[in-house]
Amino acid sequence: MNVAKKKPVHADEFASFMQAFQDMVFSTATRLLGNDRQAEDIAQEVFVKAYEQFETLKESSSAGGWLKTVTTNLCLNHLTRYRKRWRLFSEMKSDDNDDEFDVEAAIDISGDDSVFDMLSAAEQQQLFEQALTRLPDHQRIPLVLYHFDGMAYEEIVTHINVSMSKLKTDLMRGRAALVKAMQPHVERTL
Amino acid sequence: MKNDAQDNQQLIKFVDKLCKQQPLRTAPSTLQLRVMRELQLQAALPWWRKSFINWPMPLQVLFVVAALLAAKLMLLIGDWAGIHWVSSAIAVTKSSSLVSGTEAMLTVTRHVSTQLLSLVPMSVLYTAILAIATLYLLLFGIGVATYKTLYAAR
Repeated sequence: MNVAKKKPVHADEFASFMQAFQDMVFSTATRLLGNDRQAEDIAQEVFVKAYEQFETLKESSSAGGWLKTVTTNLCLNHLTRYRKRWRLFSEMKSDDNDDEFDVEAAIDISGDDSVFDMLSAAEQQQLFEQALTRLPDHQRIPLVLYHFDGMAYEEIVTHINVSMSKLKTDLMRGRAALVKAMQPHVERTL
Repeated sequence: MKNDAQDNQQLIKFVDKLCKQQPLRTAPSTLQLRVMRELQLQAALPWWRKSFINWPMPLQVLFVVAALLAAKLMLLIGDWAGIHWVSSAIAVTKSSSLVSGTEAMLTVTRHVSTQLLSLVPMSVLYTAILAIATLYLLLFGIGVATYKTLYAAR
């Protein structure tokens, strides 16, 4: 089968379309999944789907929204499909005990902004992305959906199928853990 | 209590600001190549390996007609088998309606399964069940080992 010679229809136009949206799609996927390699696989799947709808999408002002929704859904499907299996082996212990939570220690953001502003944008981003990746799935996913995708609590509960109280607890712990994970680096830098 | 709520609100605002400040991650340079290669692969696939909606229209129609004929054939076979194999199905299969045909097929399936099971010695049956259970546990064990090796350290 000779596959190399057949160029997809509208290839150049589609390449420009990809160029415009690929960072957004990849960022959404990698923040939700916490894994660059899997995020690239999902991003590929998203753009293959986008190609099937390209006639509509290329003229649409909501193409970005469409891509973001598809990316989020594919990531959540991926996580549901694979992580639940692993959870059977790994997370039979209570989720509530696996991350010792110390609000007092975590929420030390007095004089907050200036501390982080001392770092360069690139350093800050690297630190932030590392801290986000290190969060457990059950904290990172709602945090990304809430703060990056702007989803409401009710919407997140439906998407990830957890109770409202668990969602709020996970979000609170996720935020605290994120700040806590960034603080030592900031203090060292200072 | 009020302080806790205030702290929490402060934390929400802080994290929200932090998240909103973050620039987009740069997609790997390989992504575009991967997508284009995948699209080329898909474009080169023969029609019968693509999803049904991408088949040529005449073939879609032909497939639907063939599927309906196959279903009808199965129902006729069900009727025929009902008449010849199961006495209780005779009355039902006199009409060739969808319901009677399906009923006859189910009756025949049940009858044949029962007969086949009665032919297998019980010792063989128990051994087979034990073997399946052992293999399932083995698979479960491999799953746990794979998880512990590849993911647990993450």
